[in-house]
Amino acid sequence: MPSILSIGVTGLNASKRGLTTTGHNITNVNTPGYSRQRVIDATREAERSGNGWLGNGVRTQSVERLYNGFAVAQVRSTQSSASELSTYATHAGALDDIYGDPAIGLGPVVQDFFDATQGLADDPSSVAARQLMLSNAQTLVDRFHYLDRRNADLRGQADRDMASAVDRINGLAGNIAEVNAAIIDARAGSNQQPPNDLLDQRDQMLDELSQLVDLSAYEQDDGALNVFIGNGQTLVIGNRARALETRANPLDPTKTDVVYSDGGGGQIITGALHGGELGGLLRFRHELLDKAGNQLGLIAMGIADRVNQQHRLGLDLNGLSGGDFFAPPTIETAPARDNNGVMNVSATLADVSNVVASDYELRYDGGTSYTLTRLSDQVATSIDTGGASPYTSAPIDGFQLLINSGAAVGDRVLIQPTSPNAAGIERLVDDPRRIAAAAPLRAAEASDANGNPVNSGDARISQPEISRAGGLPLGSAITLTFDPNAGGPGVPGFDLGGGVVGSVLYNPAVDGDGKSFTFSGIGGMRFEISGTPAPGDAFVIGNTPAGSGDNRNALRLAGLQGGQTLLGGSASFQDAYSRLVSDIGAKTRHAKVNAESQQGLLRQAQSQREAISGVNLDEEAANLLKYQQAYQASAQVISTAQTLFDTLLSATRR
Amino acid sequence: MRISTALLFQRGASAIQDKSAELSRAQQYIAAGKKVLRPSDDPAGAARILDLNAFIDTAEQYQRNIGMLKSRLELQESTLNGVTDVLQRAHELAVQGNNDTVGPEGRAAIADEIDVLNDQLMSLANTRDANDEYLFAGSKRNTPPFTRSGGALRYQGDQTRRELRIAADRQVGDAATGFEVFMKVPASGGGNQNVFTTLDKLSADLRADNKVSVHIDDIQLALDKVLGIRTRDGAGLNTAIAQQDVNEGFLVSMKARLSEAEDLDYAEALTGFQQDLLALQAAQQSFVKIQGLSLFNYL
Repeated sequence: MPSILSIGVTGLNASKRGLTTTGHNITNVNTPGYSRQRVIDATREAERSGNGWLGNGVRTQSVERLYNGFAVAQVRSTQSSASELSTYATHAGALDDIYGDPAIGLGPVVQDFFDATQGLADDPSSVAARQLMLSNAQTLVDRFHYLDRRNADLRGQADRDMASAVDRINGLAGNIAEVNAAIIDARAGSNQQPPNDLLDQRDQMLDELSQLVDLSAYEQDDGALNVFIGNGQTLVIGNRARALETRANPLDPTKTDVVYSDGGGGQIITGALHGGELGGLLRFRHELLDKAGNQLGLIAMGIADRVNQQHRLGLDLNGLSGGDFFAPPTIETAPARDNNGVMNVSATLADVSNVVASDYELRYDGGTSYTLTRLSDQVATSIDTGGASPYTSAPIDGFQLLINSGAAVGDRVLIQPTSPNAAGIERLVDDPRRIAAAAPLRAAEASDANGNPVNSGDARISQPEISRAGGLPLGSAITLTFDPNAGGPGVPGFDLGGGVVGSVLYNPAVDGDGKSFTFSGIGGMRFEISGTPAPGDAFVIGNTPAGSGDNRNALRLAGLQGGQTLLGGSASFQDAYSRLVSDIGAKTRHAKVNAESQQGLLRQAQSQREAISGVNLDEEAANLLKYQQAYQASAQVISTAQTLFDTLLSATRR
Repeated sequence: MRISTALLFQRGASAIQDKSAELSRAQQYIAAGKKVLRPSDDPAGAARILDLNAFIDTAEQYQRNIGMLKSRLELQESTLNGVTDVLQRAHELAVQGNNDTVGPEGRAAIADEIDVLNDQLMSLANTRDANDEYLFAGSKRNTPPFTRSGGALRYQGDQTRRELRIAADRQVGDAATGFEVFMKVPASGGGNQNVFTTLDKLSADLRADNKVSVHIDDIQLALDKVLGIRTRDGAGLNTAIAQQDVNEGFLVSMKARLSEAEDLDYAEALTGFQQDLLALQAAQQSFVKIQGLSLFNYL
């Protein structure tokens, strides 16, 4: 027959365990990742007696944590996206701040440069106007450099954050492996009782890990948890952890890769990683930073190339043909560091209006074939050299490749048409006199030594325009003398003299409203003659002299501002910049909105988990009362047993 | 649903934090008076603001070009007005001198005045603009276009007339060249004769007591030529002034659109700010109330 006393004692002990657990819950109310615990009590094995089974008190089966695997997994996956989006939004916000500030943006300085160019056209002889154009050009160059540096700063920051995330991943992976080992031991040593606090600790570490990178975790029979990232790379298996490291990309050393140590040379898993801080950083780099750098470089390239082309067609105050105004844009090519052969490739700009804001990879596929991949959207173009070396490709996206043989199959070259130009743009003209505001050729009616007109007809000639620098300056002035029989008897025209020979036909009766003439050998010179010349009337086309106040080239330079010269002829420089800014704005906004809604989902998931696992102090206060009362009652049972015993003793003492 | 104590606290605290973040954000916009501080506030709006600013700056540059053009064309107009006066006086004098009633002394006196007029004409033809550049020199603006060496007149300017841009697709001719105004003047006897030579010949023929009727015709042709240039460039000036008005109208409407795109609606912003403030106070008060509740207070 069971003893009342011992039943009372089981009650006391059970209540004490309940109180202990309640105390544990209360004290861990603010412990991150803590799941409230409860004592599972059950009746002790009953004793059989003639009168039936007599209860034998209470025993504690287990202490369990209140935990729902689904809710926890939900928190973890939401956590990973939330952290990816908020990391992306934070970094994007920095870019957003830079391009939003009118004091440091590109728009006003591009405008100022072209305004100064118009100011030069208003008064080309003014040194002040020339000086202003030079200093505004320098401000423009400095702004490109500044924005490029800020891009580089953000890249550096993203790289450091990546390295730090990888360090923390390695630390957590190691800790999880250790806790795995402790859990296996604890379970084995306690008849498979759950080591609640260790499990909580491990869940907490997984939470932290999921903030860094998306992961999947599977619990094993022995209680260990295996963790996988990327395309199924094992990060933790049982009590062993694998390490990640960061390393410069072999093709583009300015980019940091995440490398999985597989015991050999390591496996680049950058492309396979998503979610968490790492995922956010990688997306920010690819979707925003690389693009912004390329678009900025494209604008610099466009301005430098177009201004140079026009400036070369002009003539400066010294009477010299204008050179490059800005440093000519360059297309950088660099072989991958892990090439096996010698892959020697260079690239030249063909037409800036077809250039796309992207980097490219050229890969040697063997034989005579190569594949050029545009990295922004992975569009591939096949190139067959037909065995020629060096081989010059047709223009692709506005540039041409010069490929030398010698590569080993799989060798790669990185081609960067745009991004280096934001840092590379420089103003080359230092002397205000060297700005080529004038056009190199000018036309005039023939005149005598004192400047008196000698023509008697009313024919006029327009100022000649040129489209190329070739064939200039003229060796001697070209004269056009009207001759009623220039093209044979009765066929009127102008006899040419000076640097050119022959004649051009011009019939005043037909062409009097204007006929245009083009001389492709002389810089593509084009002009128009109108009116009725008298026989012997002459025009002279000569080199514009030094010191001329002509502004025709300055007008053309200023006109470049409105030209749709970029992105396939769809955008002016200003348009391209506006697009860059609105692109950055849209992506940042999208990221912020997504980050907020993801944060909302995370809060929901957390409150679901908290609803199950969180400690509520009111509830624990009630439990405290419950177990206290049970303890008091059990004590009363013992006290009753005592009284019964006393009663028995006093009855028998008599 | 069960609520954990930590979550309750966390929710209350983050509600307060969210609200004060909103307040400080709203305060930023009110302080700046702008509704777009970063491209992400309104990506399309940010691009529009950039474009509008560029339109405005470009139009303002066109206005500066027009200002420059106007000052030169107005200077040309007043100079050519002076030239017309000179030539008209010369015409009067020539008609006088052509009269048989005037004797040799009278003709010599007239010839003296013609010489003075010719010098005046020369100085008008060598007029300089506000930048101290010669107005009628074509593109050789730093050398005086008209000189005399040993009695012979010489034009050292060129025949390149500049143009200035007054709108995106519009260019207007700058000052006329001395060649077209003074040199390429049709002569009554055929061909061309510069106006200075016409006056030289008039003066010489008056002194030599020769007939001067041919010079009267030539002066008239010179007057016609000057009038032609004044009409042409007056039209250019009018075009520029009309364009200036068009540009001004464009600027006003662009600035209105810019203000619409970027300026903050204070009434709306301040109402929002008040609401945020109220929400923050409510969050703070409810947090304190809820945190004050605990069963432990009654144990």
